[in-house]
Amino acid sequence: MTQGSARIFAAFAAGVIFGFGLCLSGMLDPARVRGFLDIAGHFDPSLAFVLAGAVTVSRAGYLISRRLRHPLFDSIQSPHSRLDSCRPTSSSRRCLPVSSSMTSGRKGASWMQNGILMRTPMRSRWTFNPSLHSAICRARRRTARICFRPP
Amino acid sequence: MMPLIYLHSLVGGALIGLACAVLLLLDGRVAGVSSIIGGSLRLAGENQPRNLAFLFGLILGPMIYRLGFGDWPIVRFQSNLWVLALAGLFVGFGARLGSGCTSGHGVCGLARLSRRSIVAVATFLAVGMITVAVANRMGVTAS
Repeated sequence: MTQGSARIFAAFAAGVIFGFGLCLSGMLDPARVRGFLDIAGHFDPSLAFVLAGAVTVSRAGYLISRRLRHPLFDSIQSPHSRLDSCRPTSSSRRCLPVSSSMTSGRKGASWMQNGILMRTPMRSRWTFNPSLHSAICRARRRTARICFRPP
Repeated sequence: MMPLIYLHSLVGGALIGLACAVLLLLDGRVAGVSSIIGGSLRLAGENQPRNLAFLFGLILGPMIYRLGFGDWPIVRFQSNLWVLALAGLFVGFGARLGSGCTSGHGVCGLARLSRRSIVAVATFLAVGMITVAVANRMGVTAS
């Protein structure tokens, strides 16, 4: 299987799981979503259970993805990976959504590609202090145990 | 004991989270359904085949549900067609303006502890609650 078709299959599989999960959760029914919002009337807490289950599993996936240099079916290094000084512990090509106005201003428009921003989430808190940032990155590199290399 | 219906919600939610994790780990993309639908409407783009594959899978999901449980999932609309069309317009516009919908902000964004997503989720839940309260006052009650 080529990488292109593997990525298409990944999207397809995710769609099937998503669609099935949505049916099972009951959130395909607008009446039940409305029930969650109807706090003073016929309150239905289902949506809270759905969100709790979804965020927990999604969080686990996100934490694993931070340990990958790149997604499993996408070995192409991002042209922006030079900016990534924490490479061993964070993925160099994670496509995070970016807003039109809220986040793009600070990072610069050149980082944007097709409406997605490629950046290292770990940077954010330390950007204002480059030396502290690189020191932390060195420490992280030393402690990084799981590090997947591109094939 | 937790009613079965909430257990279904919890497991269904976990599957939705799994779908987001699968897409992020395998393809490095965030499973934001509104953005994927929006992207699939663009005629050119490198993401196009994957957007369509995701949507095809999304439609196949309910069919697998029917094979497994012998019945379609319940969908109850309580408004007339015009209200639905207007509501859909608001949802679509708002999801694009807010850079995501319940799946992108609510599931993927909250999982990353994204501040933007936390604000978005709090906002749309709060406004949704106000809207339902106002609708109830106006007599558009849930059955």
